[in-house]
Amino acid sequence: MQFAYSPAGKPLLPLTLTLGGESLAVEGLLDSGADVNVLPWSAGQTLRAAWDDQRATIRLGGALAGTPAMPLLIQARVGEFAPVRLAFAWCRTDEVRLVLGQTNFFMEFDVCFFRSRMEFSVAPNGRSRTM
Amino acid sequence: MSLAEVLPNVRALPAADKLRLIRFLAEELDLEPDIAPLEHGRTYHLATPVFEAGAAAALMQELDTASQP
Repeated sequence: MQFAYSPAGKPLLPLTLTLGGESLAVEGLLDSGADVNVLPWSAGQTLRAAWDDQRATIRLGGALAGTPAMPLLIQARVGEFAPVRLAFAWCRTDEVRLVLGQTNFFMEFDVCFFRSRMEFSVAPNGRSRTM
Repeated sequence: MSLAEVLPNVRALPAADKLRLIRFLAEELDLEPDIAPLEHGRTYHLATPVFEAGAAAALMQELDTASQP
């Protein structure tokens, strides 16, 4: 499935996140350099995710050092592909953007970048953790 | 003249001249706006957040736990 880069030159992938009965249409930055998927605080709140201090064992580093994050499993649908289960680091800040990283977006999907054509393609790798 | 034509002559240069050539080419590239489009003094935002060690493992553990029957 082919997608166009954003006008700002970013590979932003439209997808729908579903948690419980709540759905949210978002755009995630495809970032092969990111270790994990990242969910900003407000997106999790919109999905009515429940924050649990006991499970917030992940910590951001760098400029946001000390900010807690908790693992959150969310059903994600890309286009007409079957929904998959994505694990996000749900961060207690909106200073991060929604990022699709190695764990586990790039484990579920094969991504090809064609920067010269301002396009990228995404395809399930056939080993998805379907919901 | 292609790179393939130049390369044998470059390889034949003494080490000191090879270093001079590297510096010369690096300076040339510095002046090429299309090669180095970054602006001096501008702040560029990196979207990739940094996590302390173990973030990916924590997510994988969550996935594995959820996948268990």
